[in-house]
Amino acid sequence: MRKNWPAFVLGGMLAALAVFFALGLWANPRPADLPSGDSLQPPGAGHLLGTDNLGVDIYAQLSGGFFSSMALGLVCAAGAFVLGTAAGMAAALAPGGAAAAVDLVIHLFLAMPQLPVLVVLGAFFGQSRAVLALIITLFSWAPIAKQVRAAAAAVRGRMYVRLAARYGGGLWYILRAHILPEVLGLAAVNGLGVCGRAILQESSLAYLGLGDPLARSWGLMISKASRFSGIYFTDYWLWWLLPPVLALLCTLLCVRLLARWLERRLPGRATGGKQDGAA
Amino acid sequence: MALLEAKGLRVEYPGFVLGPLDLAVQPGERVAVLGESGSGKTTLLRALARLDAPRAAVSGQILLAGQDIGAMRETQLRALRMEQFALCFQNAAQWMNPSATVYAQLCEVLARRYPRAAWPARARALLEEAGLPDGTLDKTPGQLSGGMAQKCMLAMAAALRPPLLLLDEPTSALDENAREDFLRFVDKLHAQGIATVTVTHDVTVARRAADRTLVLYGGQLVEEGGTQQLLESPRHPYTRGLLASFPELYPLRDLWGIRPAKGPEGKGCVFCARCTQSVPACAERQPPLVKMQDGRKLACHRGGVVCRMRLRGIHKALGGQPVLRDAALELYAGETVALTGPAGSGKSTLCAVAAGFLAPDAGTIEFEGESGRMDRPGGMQLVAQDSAAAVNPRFTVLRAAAEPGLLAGLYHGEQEAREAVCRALEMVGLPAGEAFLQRCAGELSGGQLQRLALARALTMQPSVLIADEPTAMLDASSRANVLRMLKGVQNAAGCAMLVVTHDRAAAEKIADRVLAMQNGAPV
Repeated sequence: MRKNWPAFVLGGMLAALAVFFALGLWANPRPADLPSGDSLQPPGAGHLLGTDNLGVDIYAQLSGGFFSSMALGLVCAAGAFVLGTAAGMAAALAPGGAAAAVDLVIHLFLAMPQLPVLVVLGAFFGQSRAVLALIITLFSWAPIAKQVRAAAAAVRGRMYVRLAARYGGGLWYILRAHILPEVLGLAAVNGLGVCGRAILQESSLAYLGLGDPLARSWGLMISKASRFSGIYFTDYWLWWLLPPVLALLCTLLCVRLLARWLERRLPGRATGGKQDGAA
Repeated sequence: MALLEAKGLRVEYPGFVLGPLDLAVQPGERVAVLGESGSGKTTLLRALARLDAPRAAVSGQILLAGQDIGAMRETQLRALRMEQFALCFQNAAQWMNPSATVYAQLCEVLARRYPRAAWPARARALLEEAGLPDGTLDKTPGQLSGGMAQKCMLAMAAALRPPLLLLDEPTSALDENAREDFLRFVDKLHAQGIATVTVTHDVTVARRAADRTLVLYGGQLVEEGGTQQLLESPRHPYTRGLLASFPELYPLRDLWGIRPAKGPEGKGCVFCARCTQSVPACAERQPPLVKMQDGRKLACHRGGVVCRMRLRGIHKALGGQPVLRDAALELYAGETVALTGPAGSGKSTLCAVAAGFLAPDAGTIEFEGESGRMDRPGGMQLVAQDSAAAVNPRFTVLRAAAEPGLLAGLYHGEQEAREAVCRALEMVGLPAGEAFLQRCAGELSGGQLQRLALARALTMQPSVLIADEPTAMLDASSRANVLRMLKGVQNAAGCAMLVVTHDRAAAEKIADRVLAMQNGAPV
């Protein structure tokens, strides 16, 4: 329990954020997409975090942004996890030619410059969040696949797997009994990392104006606020620009730190493995 | 014509059956009947001499110089005893009259042929021949040492120069010097053309005092052949095991008897239960004693000790470097072969090739029957060098050890798997409690992992076990323990074992044969 305190702290912070934003969505009477007060109202009784230039409640916008970002991040993470694991396993275990083909695809995606391609694709397809999620997923699975491939290949070469094969264990058995347990943790942790990156990428695209212009998105909020001429000569940035930046920062930090901590805890990494003395 | 011939001789008394067996002794021949306690040696000898135990039922023919003595009455036999054949027993002192002097007892025999005047001279000549001092004549058996009494008894048996002497464990109670003394006396008699049949459990006596040796086990002749040949290359698994039990023959090695088992049962081969290469046929009928091409006789359904694994002309290069050059290796059922050599000499490569984990560049690997399969019980099993890599660290002990059996479909239900694993764990000296079964393999020490890997191999009841440097990662004490345990397991399980070690001294201790890697081939 004592060794796991970072997980509890980070998880707690994420939970607190979720609760805070859930309240903003459902307990806050102000809508996130319609003006509900005067423009650029400072934080106060009616609007907890003030309003933007159109008079839309900031708290409600932030809350909507959290859930849409989180949902997108988790969908991308799940997609990258499944795709990466499958491709990595295929590259490690499929017979000759097929493995090489999968490997080539993995490396193609690894080699592609992500941001420019994302910007181009986002410009064409970014209006649909589903397509956006798909695009981000497509650019996130390759590193996972590469890691899974390496791990699976290493396990496959171990004596106990070779023995299991000689004992009559088929590919499916070896996959299930020996390789998947070794690989799943690695893929899951890397998937969590994808979650953080997806949120950032979506916000970046939105900031560049390539996302869905009607979506409740932190990137869009930041973009609008920062383009409001003269925002830094007033106090508006304090409640219009700063909250989405802070929310993005906090969320990303929590997710990334959690992923990093879990990665270190994977068996066989860093000091996670138990060292045995000789008999 | 044979001097002594038995045809279809069968002796039966409650709890034991000898034969039916055939044997023939030519004039002047020295024959040894070799076998362990209870094999029926003495019963055979007594039947040949018509000294049957009261409750024994004897059938078959016994021909002495063409006469059927099996059908004779006791009165007719009496005329033949001492004249045509004579016996010498194990404890001479017990068979002699304790109150009469040696001279008096010798005279009793001499009286059957010689006039009274010739007795003293004959008696002294006999004693001199036996290498006994003159004074012996006036002593009673109680005053003689064991060796002297034994020689006195032989002198009495040989007094009338019968053409055949039957010796029943004549030297088993004697020390080495007395034995040699006694056998020298036998040699002298043999030089005069007397044939001997020596019954013994001592291989060294057979080697010393017989031209031909018959091996008796469970009342059956299992092997027969020239003594020299038979001792150098025993064919029958029992003969091999018997020879291996003699420290005189293998001074360096630890002693390991033939694995114990229940005695012969039913109508199968008598050695079936203890045999390391038995097949179903062995339990069904008794193999006949058949003549082999080289004139030796053998009673074994498998044609003698089976070669489980034969590597021939193996070449293997790793990374462009030739590692194995024309390597050849034969592994016979039930034997332990140690492969030694310095690091990099190709020991492990040979193991990997034999186990099928490396394909040789040239050469053949043959396994007898299904001995080469790892996915079948009774096949080949490998205990790899790096035990940490050989067991999935995520598996529990139970799961790791049960894996091959589960994949082979050996177990019906978890309980059966659990029992099989527990048995194997006990064999290798690991705790078989529930707590240990549920431990994660990754938490075990190196020595425990090594034993676990071995236990996993044993659950498959292998007929060939290849152990590649099983002690490489262990300290001296664990190494000794593991090697002894390995040999004990091999002996009990009866598999053929190829064990690789760089420890030559340890190899000499546990192995039947020690091979060293030289220029890429075991020598």
